[in-house]
Amino acid sequence: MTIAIVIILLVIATLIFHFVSPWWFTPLASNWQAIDDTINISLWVVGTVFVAVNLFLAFVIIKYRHNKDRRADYEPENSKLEAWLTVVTTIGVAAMLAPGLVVWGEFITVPENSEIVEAVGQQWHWSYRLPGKDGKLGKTAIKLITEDNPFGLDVNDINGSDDLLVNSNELHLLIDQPVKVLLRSKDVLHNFAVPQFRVKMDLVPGAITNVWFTPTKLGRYELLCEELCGIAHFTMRGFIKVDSASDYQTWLASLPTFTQTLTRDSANIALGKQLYAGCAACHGINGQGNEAMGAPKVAGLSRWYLQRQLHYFKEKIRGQNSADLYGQQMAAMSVLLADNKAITDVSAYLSALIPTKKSPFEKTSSENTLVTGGDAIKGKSLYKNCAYCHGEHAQGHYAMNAPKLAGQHAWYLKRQINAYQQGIRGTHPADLYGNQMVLMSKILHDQQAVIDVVSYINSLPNVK
Amino acid sequence: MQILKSLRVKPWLPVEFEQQTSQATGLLNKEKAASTALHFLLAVITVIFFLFTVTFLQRTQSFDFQALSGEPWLPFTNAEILWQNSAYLLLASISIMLAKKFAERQSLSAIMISLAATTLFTLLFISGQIQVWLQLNQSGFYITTNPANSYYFLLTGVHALHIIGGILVFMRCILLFAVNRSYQQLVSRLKLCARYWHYLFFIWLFLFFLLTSDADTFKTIASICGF
Amino acid sequence: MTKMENVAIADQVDESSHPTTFMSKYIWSQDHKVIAVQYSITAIAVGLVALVLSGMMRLQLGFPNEFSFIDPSSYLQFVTMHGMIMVIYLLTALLLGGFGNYLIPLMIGARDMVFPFLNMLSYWIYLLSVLVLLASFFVSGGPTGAGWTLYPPQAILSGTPGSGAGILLMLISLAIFIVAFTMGGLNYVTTILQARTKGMTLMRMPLTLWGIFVATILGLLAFPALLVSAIMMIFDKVVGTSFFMPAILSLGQTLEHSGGSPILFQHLFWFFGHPEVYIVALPAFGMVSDVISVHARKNIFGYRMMVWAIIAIGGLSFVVWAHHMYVSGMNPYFGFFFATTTLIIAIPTALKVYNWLLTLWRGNIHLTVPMLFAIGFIFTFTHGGLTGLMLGNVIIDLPLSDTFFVVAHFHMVMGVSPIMVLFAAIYHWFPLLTGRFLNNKLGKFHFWGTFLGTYAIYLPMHYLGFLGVPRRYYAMGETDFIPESAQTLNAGITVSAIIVGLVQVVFIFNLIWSTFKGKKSGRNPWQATSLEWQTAQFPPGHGNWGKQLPQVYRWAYDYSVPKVKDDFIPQNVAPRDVEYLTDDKNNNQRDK
Repeated sequence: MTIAIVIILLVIATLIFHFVSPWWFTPLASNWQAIDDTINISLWVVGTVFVAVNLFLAFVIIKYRHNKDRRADYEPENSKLEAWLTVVTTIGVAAMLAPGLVVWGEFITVPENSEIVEAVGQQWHWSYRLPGKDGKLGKTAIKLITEDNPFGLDVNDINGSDDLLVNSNELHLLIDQPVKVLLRSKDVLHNFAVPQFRVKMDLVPGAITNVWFTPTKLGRYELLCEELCGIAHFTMRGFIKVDSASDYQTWLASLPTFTQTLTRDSANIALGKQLYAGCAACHGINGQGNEAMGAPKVAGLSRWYLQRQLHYFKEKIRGQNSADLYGQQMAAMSVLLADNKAITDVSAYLSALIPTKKSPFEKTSSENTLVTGGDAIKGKSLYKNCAYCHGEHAQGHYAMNAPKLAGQHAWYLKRQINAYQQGIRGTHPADLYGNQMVLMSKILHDQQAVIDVVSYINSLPNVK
Repeated sequence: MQILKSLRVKPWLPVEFEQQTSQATGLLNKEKAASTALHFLLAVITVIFFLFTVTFLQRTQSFDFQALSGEPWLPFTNAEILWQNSAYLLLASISIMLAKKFAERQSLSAIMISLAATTLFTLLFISGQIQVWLQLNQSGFYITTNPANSYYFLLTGVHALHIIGGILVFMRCILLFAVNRSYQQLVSRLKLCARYWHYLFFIWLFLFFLLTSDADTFKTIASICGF
Repeated sequence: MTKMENVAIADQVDESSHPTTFMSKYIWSQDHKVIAVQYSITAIAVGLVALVLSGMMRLQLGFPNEFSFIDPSSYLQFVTMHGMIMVIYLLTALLLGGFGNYLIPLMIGARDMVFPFLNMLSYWIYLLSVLVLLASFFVSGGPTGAGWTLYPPQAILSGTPGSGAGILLMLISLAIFIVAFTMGGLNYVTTILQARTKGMTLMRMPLTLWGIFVATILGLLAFPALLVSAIMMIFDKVVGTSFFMPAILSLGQTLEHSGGSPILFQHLFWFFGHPEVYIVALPAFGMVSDVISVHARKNIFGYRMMVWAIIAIGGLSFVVWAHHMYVSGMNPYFGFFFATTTLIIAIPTALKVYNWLLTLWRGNIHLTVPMLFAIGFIFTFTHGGLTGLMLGNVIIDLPLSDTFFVVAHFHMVMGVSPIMVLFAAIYHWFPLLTGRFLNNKLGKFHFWGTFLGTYAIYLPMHYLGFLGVPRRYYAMGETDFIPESAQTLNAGITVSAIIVGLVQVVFIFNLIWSTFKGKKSGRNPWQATSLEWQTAQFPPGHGNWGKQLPQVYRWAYDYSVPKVKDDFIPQNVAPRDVEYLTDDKNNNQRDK
């Protein structure tokens, strides 16, 4: 008896939960209203069946519960009833399936006026490529991928030379323009999913898949990888910004072509050295850093990392938080570097500086307390999560967008980890990969864990 | 369609009682049981090789696939050694059948000889297959060089493992015979062993054909299968 | 034994060969009942490990940043091992190795399996596979964190935790499991086909046997796909072949592979994986049918339809696999075919649900603990089946695949539902095993905790899926489209999950306590008709039947037959022995 009442209550509770729940699809921002409609039709069908079956179940339990004066019926089968039920079920199933198949037909028919964009997935970030003026994407190959040619484009393919490369997590799309996104993976399976657009598709290494939709609402939407792709799967986020026509043109104009990316990067180390003179007061003449000034070691860091961070400081992406005192100083100082060229030169100079050896590098007192307070063995087991990107020896890795950590001052590492944890660094929407560190830094649950991992990194030899 | 008919029986009706019981005699025929089990085992083995074959055929159409025969420098354009191995397996298959025949006649020495022949030829087959592997390796057709090579090593390896499994069961038959000297049991056991050997022989012929086909054959097969 | 042909099953076991020592009786036993218990204990033990793992990942999801021992690696490892253990090493092993082993010979009236030695071997090899699997917790790098689907390339590349020894041990353990399953499976199928006692036609078998029979055939034909993919992946990993590996980078390094197809693995995996759902579901369908029939004192409604539905579902389960792959990047036209077949399979499944309801209709329902679990199953299975209709409809799968909606759906339909049946079956058949009832009060507590608790876990989880929360995410962080309140929902789910987990401790306690101290049940306590309750000795001893095998005269569902004195007629009661009512009143009086 109780069970019957509970089942009735559960049915009622389910319905209430369904209708009162604030947890529902995020508002649609694409043309796929038809998908939402199909879901609603299906929900009504299955909801009705759910209510009917379970209320009938409860009714039967109440009506035919045990009574010692009554015998159960003997009824082996009832072909008529069974046939009737089969027919009704078949009709119900067909009613759900038919609209679904129609909409699927639309989904696999890409409109002819679609623009083509390529989304490239790799562990654990996104980049994008547009076909450029000729409307054709150039050929690519995995074995052509290098630090200078991260897309693996074939230089001999004429179609590729004007391809526009977006070496960032953010893609812009033109509103109301159907777009066919070609999906390419450099390593494992990924999935291109934007909840607001409803559609999604896997990226398969060795094959090109695609998905199409028409963005219909201006805004910035999060792009998620929804196919397990390794340890940092949950940090593999990108952004799709839906632009008006003028904004979109501005963005297009800012993109380099493939040819430009191959040639524009000629750095002048000598000029870089001159420019660095202005920085040496804090960062030290050899770029060794200075705790009293809060200035990290910069010698021997990768050029791409230095460039990116200097851009961030200059473009007010990093160092804007009021809790980030040293960051604010650096943001102010970054005006000394007048333009991209200056940033390129100084980064090239610094990355070419031989990093100071471990031994002569004087440890400050706070550094000693930091490191002695930390348990490098515990830190090692924590660091295994970091090693996927930053490398076994904390040597950093351009392909993972992960800077070198080995040889960096312990106090600086600690400050930055804390900054990520508190959202002081990495939360600016234009900080492409900072959000990964925001998510990842949270695995260090307390200050002791931070100190442990820092002291482990500090114990690693500073290899190039 | 006996099975369909029996599935339509209404088991609650006493009318159909006689007819139903005649199907279930309550007698266990051990040989029949073992034979049923063997058939299911062969079905399992068939599925294994079927699935390997499907993946193989799909792979033959990829750009980096280089068939193992068709050009003079390819190892199985002249597949003499494989024919030789096939002959060993065929002889093993025949001798095990003979052993069964002799067991029916209860002539011990003939049984011994034919059982020994089965063992010998089966082992010759295995060692012949290993020879081919070594030759392939020596001439630079390593397992990872090409998907065709990978599949060659994989499929022949899996086939050889099945043969080795068969030998173990076969040895157990001989051992049991040595202990209890029951000709009748030996006959029924050898019957099943023989079936297994024949079946693996046919699988081998199929693999032989499949693995030594040239690129054009694969193209034809793949287009027929719709890859 | 001198004569091979046509030995009466009655003569199968030499009575003098009963095992006598402890070792031969309980450890190296060839008795199907002991092997069944060995299978069950091992499966439940490893299932408890998986339960703890699920608790760990729920802690992380419900209360992120609270538990420092769960980092992204271990989270993925917990997810993977939880899934694999539950699906293969618990459900498949317990339903077929445990219940299949125990019930097949008893229900068909045989003394044992046809190949008892093979049966014993099957258990020990299964145990080996479990040990190999558990060993991966202790190797460097830990167990694999590739997700239970083990998709390459990710599963064997260094960006995934446990991509060294962990994944290898997983694949090897699976291969060993498949060997064990094949040994057991050949036994089950052959025993059902060849060793039925006199009068036991196929259509007189209880539905439990039909479920186990068809599921075993599915297993025999589907597990090879997993074996094939495991072997090929081992080659890719160890030897460096390119079966599933295309030209590829790993953490920025170029690897030596070229030309392989990751989607090929998915096809193989799901060619196994989808029938696997029914390998678990069909025995559950069968057992729940019998529990409902016995405890409602009514024949199963539409027995023939139930058998046909089991066969139809089994057959169809081989042509629906790619509905797991709608967004995998396979040929999109497959979507039409697989959506259609998937929704077709819903029809026989729905008929089974109707027939359970119609069995209860005009029954005389005893709300015993097994019946409560069976009713709970109807509720959860209806829920899970209906959301399956949504996901099977290819276009609806687009927004929902890889979200928590999928997780909620398959836990309802193949987690909670078979588990409800397993509990129903354990409460129902426990007296047969021990001669004692499980404690009723604890049983009811266990039922309510499990039933309400699991619904409190999985109903809200569907709504996380509607929101778009992806599965297999260690942490969501801050996003624009997921409101803060979703975290509250997640925390609530975790609390329910922990309660459900703790309730299972009560169940384990009940199992142990009742084995020794439970109320004595007496013979055939549920007054069931099927053969397993009609043994000479109770609980059944070695050889199951005394001197003579039972003869079967009727189907397994003669409950409440009109004009018959008792409300059940066991299968082995000859028509001439059935007592009929002469005068209703008098007979009713006499009964009391």
